[in-house]
Amino acid sequence: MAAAEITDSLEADAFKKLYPDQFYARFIADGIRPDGRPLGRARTASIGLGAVSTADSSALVKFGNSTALAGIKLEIMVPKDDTPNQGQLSIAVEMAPMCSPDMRPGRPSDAAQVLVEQLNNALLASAKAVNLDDLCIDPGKAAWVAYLDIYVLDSDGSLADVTLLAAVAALATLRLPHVAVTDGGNVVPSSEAAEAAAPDEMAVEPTKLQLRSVPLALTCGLYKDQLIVGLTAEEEALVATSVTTIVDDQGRLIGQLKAGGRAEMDIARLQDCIEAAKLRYAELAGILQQAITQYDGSG
Amino acid sequence: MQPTAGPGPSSEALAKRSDRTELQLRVLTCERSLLHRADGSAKWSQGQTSVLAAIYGPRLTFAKKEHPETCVVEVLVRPKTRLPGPTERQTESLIRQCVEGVVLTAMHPRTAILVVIQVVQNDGCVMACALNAVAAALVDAGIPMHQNFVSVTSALMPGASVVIDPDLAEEQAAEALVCSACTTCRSWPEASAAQKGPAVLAVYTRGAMPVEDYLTLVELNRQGCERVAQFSVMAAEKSLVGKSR
Amino acid sequence: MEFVSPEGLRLDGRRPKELRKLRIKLGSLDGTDGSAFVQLGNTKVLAAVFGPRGAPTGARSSAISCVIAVSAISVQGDRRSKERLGRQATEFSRALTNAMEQLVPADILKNACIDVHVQVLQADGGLFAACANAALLALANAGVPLRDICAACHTGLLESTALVDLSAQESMQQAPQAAILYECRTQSIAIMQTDNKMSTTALEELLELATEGCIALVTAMRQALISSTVQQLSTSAPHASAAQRRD
Repeated sequence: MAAAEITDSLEADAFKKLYPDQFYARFIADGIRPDGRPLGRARTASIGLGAVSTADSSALVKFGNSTALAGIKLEIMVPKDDTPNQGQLSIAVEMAPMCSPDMRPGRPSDAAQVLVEQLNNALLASAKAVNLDDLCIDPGKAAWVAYLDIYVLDSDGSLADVTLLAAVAALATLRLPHVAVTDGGNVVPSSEAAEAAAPDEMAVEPTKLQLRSVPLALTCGLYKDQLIVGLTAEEEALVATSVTTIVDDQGRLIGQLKAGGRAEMDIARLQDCIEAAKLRYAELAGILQQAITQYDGSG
Repeated sequence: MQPTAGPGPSSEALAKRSDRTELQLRVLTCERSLLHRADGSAKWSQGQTSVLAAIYGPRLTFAKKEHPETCVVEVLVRPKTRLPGPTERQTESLIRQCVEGVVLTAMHPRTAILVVIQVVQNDGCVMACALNAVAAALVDAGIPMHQNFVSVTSALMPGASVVIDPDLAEEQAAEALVCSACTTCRSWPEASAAQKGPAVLAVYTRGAMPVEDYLTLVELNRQGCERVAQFSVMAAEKSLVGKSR
Repeated sequence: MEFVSPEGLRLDGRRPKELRKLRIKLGSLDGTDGSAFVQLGNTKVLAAVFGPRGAPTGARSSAISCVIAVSAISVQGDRRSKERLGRQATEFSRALTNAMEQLVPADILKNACIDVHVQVLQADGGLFAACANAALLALANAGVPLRDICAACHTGLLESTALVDLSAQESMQQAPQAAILYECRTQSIAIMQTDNKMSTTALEELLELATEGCIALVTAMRQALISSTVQQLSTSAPHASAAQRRD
């Protein structure tokens, strides 16, 4: 009997490998997906804050198997001449070679570059989540540059969603140390400068970076006229087209990207994607807030 | 299509359009078959914005890159100045998926189509202009397609007014931009009866806006696409008639 | 700053021959053939193995390749320290690749290729020892047969005391340091890396201590592999029990 069981599962695996489309279609016809989720449900998210203590803030986010690790390191820079009151947020995404069997170590892949552009668009250009004036220390003399590095450790679909959530979580827990600029032009921790001036004063707590907007993304796909929410890598290869929708806490649409594909979408469908993104937003925002409260409480 | 972070003209200084209304497109021109070495080429201009697209293929490619059942599409975008960066990769990804969507890739297995795009002049709407140039070049190359597409950008200006086909100054002052590509014929293989009303092939936004304004812009784009499609068909007929002589 | 107090305690309260807390998690990356997460104190390293699988088209210098990548967020200092660590990582990758070529039986390498990727998530000393341990655990998790069970350990001589498993602060001093990859069954050293000049007696002392450290690590690694395998078998046990019920 064990042999019969093994044959059944072998047949199912073989069918899945040889005819992935028919395999998937059978599940969709019954209204569920191979991992048991209904069509309208995205994967549960788990957020781990402060995962890397060498970074000034970090977040490890998982949607099912898709894993991204974001970390921010702060350094001092001299502000540019035309923006003396602004610091800089420099975003980089690296697809670790372990994230997928086809990756090879070497120069940044195109997929990583596209994710960088999407993150720059979402965080800086569109939502203006970070006000670069907040990163200024001394106008014209010193400002923070925040290097936000995101590593995709496991790539199983919805990478835009995972990386954006990881970036937002890392930014939300970033604390800017209190520093002062000495006469020599050096930047020293405020406590040192304060000790030199008035040794009795208390040390100043680092300030939390205020996020002006919290954008979160959801990727949906169209498969045989059904809207599938929260795609895995296998599903991304099978759907006719996919749409990434980004909304923020103020209910604004931060971005919608439908990059071509084999099918069109009418405006009603685009609206469905926006509604799905809003529902997902409520879910993710709750998880994020809980993680931040826990982290602040313990840290 | 990147509004820069620097201060653009303020909304008061940005006078109403002098040469056209808010809902009027700029002058469109399309030249085909400019490059002799390419299988197809087209230079598309919208006002002062001008983009050149060249198509090479279907042609042989490395065994590593080829696909046994379909044609592989590769896109290269070269900006006017500076080296290509993440913005260009995003544009390439979008254009590649649009081209893969309309071209009958199954007709040329184990080959590749290379699309090269050079931005000649940037006065706003570069993404839309590039998409239009690629569509025109595909026709010029004679690549079999079951659809063609056109593209238009519209902007949400401060003060909640909308304009279509913004120039660079308007783009920089805009609160949000929506660029969309629509197909030119209605019969689509994977379309179904459930799809009511007009549809988009691709959409790309920049900037934050309320959802209602976004949907208004998408609808505005679709109307603009109908106009651009009429022009595109007319221009194609003229150039093909010229060829057959 | 004294690194070893008169009572014999180090900066973090350890004894000179005490290893940091070791945490091993196997098989956490689903898309890979084998993966291992190793945490030694504050050093965190993630390794993944793809293979044995068919060789891709194009010439490869060796059937097994090991690449260590240092994340920008993992280093204590600014981005320049990451560049420096990255260069050291490249050098160590090559040594580790050579060692693995000896460890994996030749008949497997003849027809297939194996890719090992190591990503450093947090660096706090003993970096390359952690990378080697993670890479070997990932190979074992992938089911690749290995000739011998090995572990790597890092030691140094500070204030005339031989210390095992140095933290980043301890290794930044210009003290003699030695790191080895030790094969337990043959009792031989596969890789040895030394830093700064030292006398031969000091070297012998460090190697002896490192060997002890490796043997202790091997016990822990073996334990982790066994418990992970038992867990895998128990989660797939329902098949067996269902089969029995049908009989």
